Amino acid sequence: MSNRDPLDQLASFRIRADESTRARDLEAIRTELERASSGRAVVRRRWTLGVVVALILAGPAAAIAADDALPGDLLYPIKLVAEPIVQLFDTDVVVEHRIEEVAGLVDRGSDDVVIQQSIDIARDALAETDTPLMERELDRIVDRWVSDRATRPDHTGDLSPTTTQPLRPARTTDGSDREPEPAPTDAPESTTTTGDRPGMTEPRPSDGTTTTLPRDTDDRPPPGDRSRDTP
Amino acid sequence: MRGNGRSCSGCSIGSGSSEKEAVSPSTGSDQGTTGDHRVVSPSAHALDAWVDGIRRGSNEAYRAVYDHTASDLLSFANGMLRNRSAAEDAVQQAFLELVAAAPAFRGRGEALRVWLFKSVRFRCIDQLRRASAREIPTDRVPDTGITDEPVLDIDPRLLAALDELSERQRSMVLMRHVVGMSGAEIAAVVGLNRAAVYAVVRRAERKLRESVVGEETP
Repeated sequence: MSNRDPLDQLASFRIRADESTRARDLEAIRTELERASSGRAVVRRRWTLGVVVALILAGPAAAIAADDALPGDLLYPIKLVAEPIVQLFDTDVVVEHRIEEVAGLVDRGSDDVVIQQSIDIARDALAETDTPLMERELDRIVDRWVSDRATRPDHTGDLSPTTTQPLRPARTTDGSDREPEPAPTDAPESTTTTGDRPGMTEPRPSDGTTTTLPRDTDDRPPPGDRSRDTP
Repeated sequence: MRGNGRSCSGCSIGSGSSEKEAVSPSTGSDQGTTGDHRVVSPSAHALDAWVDGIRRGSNEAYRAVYDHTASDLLSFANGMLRNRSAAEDAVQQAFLELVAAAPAFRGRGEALRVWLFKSVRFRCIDQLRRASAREIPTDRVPDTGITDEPVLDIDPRLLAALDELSERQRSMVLMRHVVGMSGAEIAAVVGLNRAAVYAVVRRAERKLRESVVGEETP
């Protein structure tokens, strides 16, 4: 005893895993492995389902988010891509969007050239549909824009060519070039015409006369003109 | 009893791999077996292959690792808890915990053995603390062990002195003298550097020897 290290006695703690213990433990491990595997499979299925749902929702969500986008906005291309699909259910959606865009650009105080282009595009869209109420709405927006420009603090009356003739028709009725008319400088009161341009005139319910908006002021195509004057 | 290849009389922890091989239970004549399943110390390549298999959830890899480590883990847990069934439960729980943690396990071969020892050690300490909390205060010195089986061939004074050690000291002494782990392995399990392990174990060994043979122990 005297020559032996007393700590050697601690080796008596040493035991072995007998066969029954081993079998029990390995069975428990196997069961746990199967449970973990099925659990991971469930997680994988849930992730897959989540991705699929996200993809399904992403398209409509992007389209909805882009619904109020204006030309030049990041989401505007998505809006244009989604329009043909929405048009299957709402045939006037394109016209509505174009008019809303004009209103939005005016409200935003966008560049006159951009607004003019937007107006031209809206008139093109209007020409393809029979929506007199929308045409009147566009006319009101244009009137408001002209009025705003006239009262704008920086409006000097000596405007650049771009701002001097802001209103330009998308096309002429007869397809020919017309002499420019003077741009309105005051309140954009409509001038009574005989309706030589059916697409641009509207009978007023109050007095039965027809009005046209002062838009035939320039035949020079603005940048990005989409008019169909050319054959 | 095992013959340890000690490097010095005062400190029984060897630092070299040869020393570790000499005391490795896995290479002993009467130990290192799991039932009838003879354990041969695996190569580093085999250990890595087991770890890869465990990450993939291979039942065979678990079986190999179990056969390689179960007896060492059981012995260590038995020393901590002094209860075979409690030790077996601790080892089984460690392996089940490994199943859950395996996909995220990033270590290599030997790190798996260290991970298992860490898990068993924490479970043993938890059990000891729970047992201590349940214990009704008496006049005698509280025994933190949960012994329900007699432990043979161990001097009661040595057992009492073992109980007086802190949980960390006790676990380090048992890893060293029951399992035969190297200082580096113990350091990895308890999260200390090797020098600190040497110091702590040396101090604990001195206390244990003094409890049995008094001040005669150098």
